[in-house]
Amino acid sequence: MSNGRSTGGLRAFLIVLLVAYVLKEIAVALVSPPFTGHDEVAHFAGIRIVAKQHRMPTLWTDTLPPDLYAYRAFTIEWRDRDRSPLYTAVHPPLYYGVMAPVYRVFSRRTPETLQYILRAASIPFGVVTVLVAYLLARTLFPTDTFLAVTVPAVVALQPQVSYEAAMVNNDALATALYSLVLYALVLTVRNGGTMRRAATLGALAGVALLAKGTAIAALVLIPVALWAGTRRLRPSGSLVAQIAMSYGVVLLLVGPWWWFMARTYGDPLGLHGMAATQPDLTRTDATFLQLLFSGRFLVDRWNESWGQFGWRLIHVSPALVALLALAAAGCVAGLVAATLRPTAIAAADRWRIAAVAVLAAACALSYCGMVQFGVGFVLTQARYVFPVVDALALLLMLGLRTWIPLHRRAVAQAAVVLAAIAVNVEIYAGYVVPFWYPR
Amino acid sequence: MTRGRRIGIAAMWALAAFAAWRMQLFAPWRAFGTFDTFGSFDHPFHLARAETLVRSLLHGRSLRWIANHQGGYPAEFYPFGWAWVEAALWFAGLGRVPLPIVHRAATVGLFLLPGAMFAWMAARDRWPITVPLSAFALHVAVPGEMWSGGYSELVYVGLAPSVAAAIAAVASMTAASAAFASGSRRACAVSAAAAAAAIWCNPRAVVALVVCVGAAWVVSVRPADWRRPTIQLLTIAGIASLLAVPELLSLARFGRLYYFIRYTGYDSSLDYLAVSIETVSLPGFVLAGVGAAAAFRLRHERTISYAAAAALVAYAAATLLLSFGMPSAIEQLETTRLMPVQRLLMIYLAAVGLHALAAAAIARWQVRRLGPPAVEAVAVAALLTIYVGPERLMPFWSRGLFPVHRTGTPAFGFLHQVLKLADEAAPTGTAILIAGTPNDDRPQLWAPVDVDRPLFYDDWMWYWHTRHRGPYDPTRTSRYDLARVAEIFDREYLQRNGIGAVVAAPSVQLAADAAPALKREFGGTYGLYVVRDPVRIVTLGSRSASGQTIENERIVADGTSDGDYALIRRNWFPRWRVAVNGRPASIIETDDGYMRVPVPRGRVHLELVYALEPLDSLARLLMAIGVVAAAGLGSVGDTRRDPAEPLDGGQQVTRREEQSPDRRAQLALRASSMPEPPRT
Repeated sequence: MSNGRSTGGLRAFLIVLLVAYVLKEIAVALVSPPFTGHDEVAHFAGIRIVAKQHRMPTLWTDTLPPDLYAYRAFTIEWRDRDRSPLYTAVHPPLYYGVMAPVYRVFSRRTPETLQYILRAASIPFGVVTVLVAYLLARTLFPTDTFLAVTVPAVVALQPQVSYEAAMVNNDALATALYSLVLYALVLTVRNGGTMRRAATLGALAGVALLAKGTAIAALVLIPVALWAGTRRLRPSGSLVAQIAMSYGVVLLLVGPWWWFMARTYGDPLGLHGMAATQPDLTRTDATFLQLLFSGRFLVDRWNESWGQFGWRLIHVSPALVALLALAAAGCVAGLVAATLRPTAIAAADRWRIAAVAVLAAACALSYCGMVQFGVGFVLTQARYVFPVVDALALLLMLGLRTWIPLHRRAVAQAAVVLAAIAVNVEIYAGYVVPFWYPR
Repeated sequence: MTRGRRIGIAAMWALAAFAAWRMQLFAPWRAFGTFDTFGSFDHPFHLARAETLVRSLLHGRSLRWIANHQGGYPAEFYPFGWAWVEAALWFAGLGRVPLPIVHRAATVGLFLLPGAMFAWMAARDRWPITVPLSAFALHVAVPGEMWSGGYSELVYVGLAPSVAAAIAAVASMTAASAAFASGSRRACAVSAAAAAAAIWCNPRAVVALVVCVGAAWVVSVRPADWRRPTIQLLTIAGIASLLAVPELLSLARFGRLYYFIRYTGYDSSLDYLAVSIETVSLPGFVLAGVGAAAAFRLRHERTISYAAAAALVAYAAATLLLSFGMPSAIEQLETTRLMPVQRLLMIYLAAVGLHALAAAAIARWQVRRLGPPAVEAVAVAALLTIYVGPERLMPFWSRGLFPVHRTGTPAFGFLHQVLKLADEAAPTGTAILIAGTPNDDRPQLWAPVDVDRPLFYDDWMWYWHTRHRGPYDPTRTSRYDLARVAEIFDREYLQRNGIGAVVAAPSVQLAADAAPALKREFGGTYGLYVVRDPVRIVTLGSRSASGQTIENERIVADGTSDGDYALIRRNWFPRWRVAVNGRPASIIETDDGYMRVPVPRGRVHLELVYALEPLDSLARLLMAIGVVAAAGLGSVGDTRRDPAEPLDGGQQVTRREEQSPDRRAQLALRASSMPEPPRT
């Protein structure tokens, strides 16, 4: 599958990509006015509470910070200056715990300056996500340069995912950690399940769950990956023992947090608390299958994935978003065609099919999780799918590869990277920057 | 016929029977003293149109001007194609079946008609019976949005003409594709007749016909053999134009007089994409894409599917172009209303896609004991369970066959009774105003079924000009602002429109009670008010004409004039001709769209006739020629091969082709879908 590029060349590309990514993220963080990212005010307040009061906020005890009331336009339902609940208080503690030391170091700065520093502190999470994308592609298809180039490039240049990594928000951390979980799942499928790997999987999933509840889908994927791994290679322990080990580690790490949440809100994810404090944003008129089969739901989420920057105020051209949908549909069609194409697969390569299937399942589960959240809450968002961005990018590029003849792939990978850059330039030069800095 | 095919056909019949039962086709005719039919949104309007047509036909006249709707409108501005179908059914029942029940049956029949069409399309393409079964199940299960052509548009909103036109347009494309592929003259005639039916039901269908039949021609024409399909295309276009020439010529002549309110539109290309998916559901949309791809791949063997795929691509492009690229190209076109045709094409291709996927998957994984039909049967069962099953799976508005408002309710019963009393209370030569409704629907538009006289409404749903005066913005809506409802109970409004009685729903009765020009007879679900000192529809100067006859295409008034103008409170249109005391006179259009005629002092006999002009007669003659041409073409035996047979006569498969993996999958798809050997 190699088209002649050396590993050294790929590494050089990756380094250039990461440098460009970091520069882009710094630019995005600086270009975006203070607290205009998704829920930045609320997350900032959460970090401040952890840093100053050494405790996690709750919906019942904490409110949105009155000193940041000027930024109420970038929050959910901040009507009462002093009594609106801190609606992000249901999020797990890891992000706030990681950011609290940064906050403490620069605590004498103004909130605006501090939030710029906190934005910058999130950028490494994005770097990890891009790196894992590269590792996933190289692990699954070690000789395929097309995927090794395009998968990390698409992840690095996906406008909304990278935007989140330049904001005060736990999404980037959750995405990075969940990407590591996916990478560990793929390694497990390839190398077979062992007790140690099961424990590692559990630890990664547990840490990811401490970053954001969206990682809960990992609990479904772990047994599948362990099962696929033990089928291929002789296991060091029984499958049941491995699964128990994974879940045990998860419980060890997340258990205290879930216990705290259950005691505070009545359920481990705090959904009851959210429903109680955001009554205008809950609903009872939708069902899971309705939203799953709904075109409007899908299109809204797709639109959020590419546009709607700055607290959904900045809408990029629908034609551009539709064009991107068309391109994605082409990639998905390629994936389906590749799946159905009757080709003989060597026994040594079958683990790849299983690993790709696990990644596809991760994507499907993530979408279903977003749908399920939407059944109860109006404000379900595409961000809840971002943790599987590495898997999505890999699957889409795999689909795209189906349509491209071998001898054209070098040109095609350059075209993909250039197209991704062009999309970013168009979005920022055409919409985001002119919105915040009109002439 | 194979056993599988018999089972499939039986399943389609069972599904049709189930859908008909859920739509209460078999319910008793009457409930609460009134005929029980669909009563939501536009149903009453279309039922009233059918009733008006039947009455006109019973009087030996074709209906060209409709007098009972807000001052009147010309038939060609809202053509009566579908109303003719309902009238034909009524005559077929010898008048024994009440028209509301005919409307119920016709609506159910129209909803089920795509099942037959899908079966026809699939049979021509030699797909197995599971393909039309899947398509029909998707059609039944997914209601679509309000303008998408499915259950929501037809049964809930009641837009039967739009849906009928869409079905006819796709049928025309199918027949045209068969004609291009086989040379069948009969298929040409069917295509032309279906195209004309589409235009008569809804002139907007011209867009669909041009795009879909055009796409079928484009994909069938070959450099070596372009002449025959092109001649057939021209034949179809020519005969269809002849059959629809009275409608098309009238629109060409008078279209400038027609103001069309665009109520809906796509916000963006993403909005169009969302509606496209919503129309057939996400799985249906994805499968339609797969089906289109499969159809392009099997283009030599499945000409109908190939034409449908090409038409879908062209139609989507045309919709986007007309929505965003050239939004003013067709003034009287809401592009959202193009969706019904797209829905039918997508549903058919989704079924093809499901079959293609099932066949490919079974070939890929070599599941020998399972055929594609089994997979499709499971998909159909799942679809029906999800969409027609328990409400916890799919909520009310998203589920198929959801219950809609019916006319068999106490409120409708009251309305009929009060209308009859209003008809007795209003003096001859005056109109009745019906204001307000007890719910969101428009039951008042059923009034022409009960009373044969001019009517006005506070919400008249559809109109054609902007000169009608009242508390509303005529460029944006066809309903009065109920916050200003008192203005329509003013003497000035009542006199301006020649209103003699008012039927008022509770929401407007307070305003009616306070109006000095009205005298309350009684209140309730529908209250009745009579107008004090009413003015009749025709006045001669300051005096009301003593004798007045207001018919659809004729207005007669007698009386004494002081030598001023006669004011006829009916909408002006160029076809109206007037004779005063037997002598032709000129008609002046008033500022509010009515007619004024100069009359002499003394006795006046005024007669207005909605004239059949020479061009109208010519159009009728051309239409008759079209009927003869279509019948002649249809009755001439086809000299070429069977239309269902592909032109290549079934491809010969070489051993080398068999060895290609792609070809193997293709062959698996072919083999799985060809239960019978090709006929020769």
